Amino acid sequence: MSSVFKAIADPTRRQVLALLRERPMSAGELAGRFDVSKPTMSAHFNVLREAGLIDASKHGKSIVYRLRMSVLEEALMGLAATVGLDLGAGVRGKEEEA
Amino acid sequence: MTAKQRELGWAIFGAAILILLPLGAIAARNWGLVEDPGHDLPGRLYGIAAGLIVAAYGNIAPRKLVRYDPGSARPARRQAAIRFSGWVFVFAGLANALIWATVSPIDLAAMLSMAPLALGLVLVFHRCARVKAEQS
Repeated sequence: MSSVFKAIADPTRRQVLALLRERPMSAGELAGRFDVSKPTMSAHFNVLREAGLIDASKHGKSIVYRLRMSVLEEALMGLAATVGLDLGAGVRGKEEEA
Repeated sequence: MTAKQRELGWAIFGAAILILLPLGAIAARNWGLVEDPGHDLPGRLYGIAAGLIVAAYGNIAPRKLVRYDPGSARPARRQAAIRFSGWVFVFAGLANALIWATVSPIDLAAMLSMAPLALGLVLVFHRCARVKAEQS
């Protein structure tokens, strides 16, 4: 669960999830919506994938991402976005201590 | 352990809870461990567990059911319908469990507890039928 908190703590990743709530999208399509470099975007995708919140599948030359969130995870994300909670603070703290 | 085996394990665990919880309540009552003047505790526990299992399956439904289908005319509508179904079953299951836990007498609870599930099914069928109609 800590990987989920870490994933949804970042506003860019929350925006990716919000976009994928609308429909599945290709990596290029998603990256085009953000003003960040491709490696950074790729790192965000990896965090989301490791947390099990998104799924990737290859279709032709493009990688298509789709949402894979449970209802509880979606509710947590909504809460984090609404209240502005920093859900990843505890996880980051532990990582810094280690 | 594969994902399928884990799913099967959870399904067996759920079934075991549904069987063992009422049996445990009967045994506890017979041994004098709990008071059950209305003799309805096993039935209520079964109802609560069944409601929570519906909610648990509703919770994971969007994770399990959404597959990317490039041939689908409206993947957004399809995905939204599946996510909607998950939310509906979570709320229906929780409402069902709450009714079993709070409404008295148990006959009334049994009757009322069907309402959120029936309403949930109607909503989900209606939404899915609309998506299907739009796709065809």
